[in-house]
Amino acid sequence: MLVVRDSKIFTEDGQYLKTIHCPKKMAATALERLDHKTLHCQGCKDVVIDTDYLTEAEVIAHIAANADVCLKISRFNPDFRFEK
Amino acid sequence: MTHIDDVQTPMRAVKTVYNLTKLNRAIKSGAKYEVHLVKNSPKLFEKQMLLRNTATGEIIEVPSRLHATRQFGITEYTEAEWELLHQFKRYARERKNTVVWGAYIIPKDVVVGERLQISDPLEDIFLQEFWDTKIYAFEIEATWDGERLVLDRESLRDFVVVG
Repeated sequence: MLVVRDSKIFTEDGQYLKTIHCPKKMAATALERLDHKTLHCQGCKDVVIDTDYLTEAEVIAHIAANADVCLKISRFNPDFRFEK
Repeated sequence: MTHIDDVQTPMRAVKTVYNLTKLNRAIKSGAKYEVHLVKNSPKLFEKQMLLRNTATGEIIEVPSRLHATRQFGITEYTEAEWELLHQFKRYARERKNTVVWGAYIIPKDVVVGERLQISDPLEDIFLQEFWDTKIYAFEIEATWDGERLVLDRESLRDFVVVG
């Protein structure tokens, strides 16, 4: 389980992974789907990783490979716990 | 030390009723109310296919021939292996099809500007699609403006985050 607190993603044991921040404030509906795991963002012409079909380990691996990776995360994803 | 005034009280509830007996009982008690027709959303229809395996006869229901799951990734149900039996749409919110109207029962002492919780909205509001399932708002907050409930649709926008 990954924890999102104050727009920051942590592992269950509290290790910081990344901050969710989009400077263009793009809505998920504005992203163009490339395949079931990736989307294209017109705002910054970059790839956004769709976490819906990723395991927790895959999400962590993406962040480890690129700390600035852009993620799309659903609050319905059972691998994420959103806290206020 | 936390003062009692610092602790938010939970929002009061707006109850939804679907029959005249309950509605008239509420009216008699002095409660405020709003009667609405049930409003469906075209965004909540899910496409589905019934496919039959040509070798084993097994029948499955899938949203499309190219179907992604976390467990198996992309799975393709080819026309050679899976014949199409039926293609159909299913509405994401289950309701008796005899239910066409309902009423919100609002606390009689509601004050202008008070935020209330509607736990059974009469309008079906699409939130997002997740794992091929269309998700609708199970509840919504509303504000009493003195005459009617104003649904807070903005509060439903934040179900997907990007960044």
